[in-house]
Amino acid sequence: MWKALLHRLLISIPLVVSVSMVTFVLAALTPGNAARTILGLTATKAQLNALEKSLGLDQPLYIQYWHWLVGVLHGNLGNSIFTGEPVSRILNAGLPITLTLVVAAVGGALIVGVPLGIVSARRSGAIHHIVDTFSLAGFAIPSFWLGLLLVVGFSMELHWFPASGWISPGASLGGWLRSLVLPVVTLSVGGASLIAKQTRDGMLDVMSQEYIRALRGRGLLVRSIVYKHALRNALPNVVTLVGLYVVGLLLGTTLVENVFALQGLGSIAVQATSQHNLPVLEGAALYFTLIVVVTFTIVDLVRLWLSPKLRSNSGL
Amino acid sequence: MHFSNSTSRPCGWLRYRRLISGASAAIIAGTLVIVGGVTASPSSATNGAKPSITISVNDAPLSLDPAESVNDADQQIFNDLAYEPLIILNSNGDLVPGLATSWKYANSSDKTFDLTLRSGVRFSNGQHLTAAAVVRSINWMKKAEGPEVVYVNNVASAQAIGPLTVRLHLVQANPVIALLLTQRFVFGGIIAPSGCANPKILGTTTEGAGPYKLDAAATIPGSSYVFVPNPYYYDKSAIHFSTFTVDIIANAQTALSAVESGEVAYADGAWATAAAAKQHGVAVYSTLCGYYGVFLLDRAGVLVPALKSQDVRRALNYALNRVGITTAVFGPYGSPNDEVSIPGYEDEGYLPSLSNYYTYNIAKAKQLLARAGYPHGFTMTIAAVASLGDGVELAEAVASDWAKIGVTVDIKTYANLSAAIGPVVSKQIPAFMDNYDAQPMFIEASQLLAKYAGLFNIFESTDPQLTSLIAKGYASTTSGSAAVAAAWGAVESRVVALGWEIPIATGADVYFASSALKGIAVSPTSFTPNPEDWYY
Repeated sequence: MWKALLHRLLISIPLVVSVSMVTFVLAALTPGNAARTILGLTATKAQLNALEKSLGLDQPLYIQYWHWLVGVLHGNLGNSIFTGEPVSRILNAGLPITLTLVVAAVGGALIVGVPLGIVSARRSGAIHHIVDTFSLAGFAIPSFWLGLLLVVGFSMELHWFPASGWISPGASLGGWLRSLVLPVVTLSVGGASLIAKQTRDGMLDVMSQEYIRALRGRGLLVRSIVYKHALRNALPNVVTLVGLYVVGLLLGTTLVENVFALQGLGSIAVQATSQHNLPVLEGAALYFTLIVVVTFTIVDLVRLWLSPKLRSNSGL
Repeated sequence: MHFSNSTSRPCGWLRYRRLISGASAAIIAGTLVIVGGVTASPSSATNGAKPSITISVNDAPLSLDPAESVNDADQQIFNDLAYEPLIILNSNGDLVPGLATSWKYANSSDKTFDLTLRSGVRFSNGQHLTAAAVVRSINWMKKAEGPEVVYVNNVASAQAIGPLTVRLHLVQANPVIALLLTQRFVFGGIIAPSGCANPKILGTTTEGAGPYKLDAAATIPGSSYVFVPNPYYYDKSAIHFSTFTVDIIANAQTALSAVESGEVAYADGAWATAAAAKQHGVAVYSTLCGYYGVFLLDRAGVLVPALKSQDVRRALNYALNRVGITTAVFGPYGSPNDEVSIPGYEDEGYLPSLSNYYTYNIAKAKQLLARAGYPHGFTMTIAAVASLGDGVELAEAVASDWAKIGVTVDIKTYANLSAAIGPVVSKQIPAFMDNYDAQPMFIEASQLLAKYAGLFNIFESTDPQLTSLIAKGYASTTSGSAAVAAAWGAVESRVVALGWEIPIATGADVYFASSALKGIAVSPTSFTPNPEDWYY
């Protein structure tokens, strides 16, 4: 297991560097720059040139990138071009919001999706079709549309949950939970449907195996067969799917953060992109990359834990 | 051996008792916690004698530093709360005392302007307001060269001629300098000396003499800005709230939902959702504030030779069904307009006699095109910015109208202004769809019409007669209001006759608010609500 962990960490280094480099180049190629954003429409060329020089934007791209990279290696992500605030402070303010949404959405998707998948695998007929329909609908519904629909129903009409905003758990635990419900439901619907389908398919595949029939023949309880044997062997693929789902959620939270006015990493990244606030954008890209690396590391470890076969294949 | 059939009937549900019980307990507990988190609406929460208020705006400020801010409605809210201006533009468009109690031109040339400051005023950090502090603030504004430096640069230099008397030496005779020193144009908001000495802090905190100051500890930049009363504010009775929170809600529907549900007391509105807002009991405020239209850049005919012809530009104006477009896009929040000024600015160039100058007339448009040598029309590009409200929709309406006279419009859409600016300033775009907040023609002439106006005249087009009329407009400054109105009216007439621009409509800014919130008022000359005036 340690070998797998080390392997994952080692291949993450070139990943982080290449993502930051690509982000830098793409941002630089986007029309406009921070100087124009600061000075606005009526700035003269001389004013623009002067500000670009003071911000270091007149330097070659590779020099600008190198300065940033050296700073990162020293633990300094730089400062926002507009407010001067440390990038790490800006991102650390948004990180808990995004992580909370992602973790809660994954949790919600698993709580709903896995049991649905199990039920669908064990039952045929109407339940099977209902789960299939739910899977398709959940996957097809655009998250931002669903979010707006939930706001109209549960916030504007019923006044059960707030339409927007984030209340920190320190300020009010109940308020925090209430502020999470609609965005988390919005994010988790698609994931629940995917997980339900994957769980069902995995279960059906495992349940058709010889050893399951053998276990039945030995008289084991069905519940024991399903949960102790079949599900455990079907879960590794579900776990992989969850990892991919988390990556998708990082994108999905951007839309949901916009709908629910949550200042998470996605909103920060979008703002930084439109403002050409390169230090913040690079920092956000770094944070996202690290979250993906950590996610897949956890996925690998959980898969290894679930499957002795995978452990033996990895030499553990 | 026995094993249960996986398709056993209801008695199999008993095996899930523990699971169901556990799940039910969790759901009940969760519900109790969630319900227990219900609090009163933040807009009506009280803290001692004064309530707190939460509002929302669409965009977070790029920086809290007034020198780096733009004079748009959203940014102005932040400046209004923390930075008292020298002169206040009230909702009726009148100039009333702010940090300055009186002001006048020092001589008949109108190139020297004196202000007398209010005594006993202190900034939120305790520093005293003095003439030297005002001079320092203006000098910082000039040095910072922010987006609105074009206004600040009307002042050549500032001088403290007494402890509470400031003298501004103006670049030229300027009839609107008092207006420029209001909250509307940013640089009238005075920054404390400590802020000017260390301007880096101004990006994340406030150092003004306004009724409130930023509570940096409670603020989440980009998301939620919390203001608390300035303990040194000179008029405590004008402070109506114990905390003033400004949330950023970019999504227009979410903002409306937040007002309707009572989470916020005020939000930026939109034409399309105003009717729905009214139906849900939301108060809707609006005022005409600027004109929307096609800003012609390539009047020199570099990219589109046809645009060099006055007949062609006039034809494009005649071919626009302004009434139809205004009704469809703006609804009740717009009125057709073919001038570069708007009603409310009759003293500054707007001429009611020019309304309907270009009545919709396809036949006349075709005639003019033919006379100019384009009987079959031509092709041109219009840039539209998706993030600027209905810019793309308007561009499509214009394209549809112009297709009837053979003019094919290729609409180039940009996600935001930053993306569009590059091609515009590099002269790749012959025209773009935009809106322009109305200003006195004294200011508009330099921003829109002058040869070196910059963005709005990037191809540096000139017309000798227009240039002469603009010079006469500046020269009329000291000749009395009637002469000023006549001079700038002549400029407006020439601009319209030239077909210099293609205005479509005067549009309104729309704001939504809780019906419990009072004191909100707007007008064409003061179209951003001032939060200082609000109360429950």
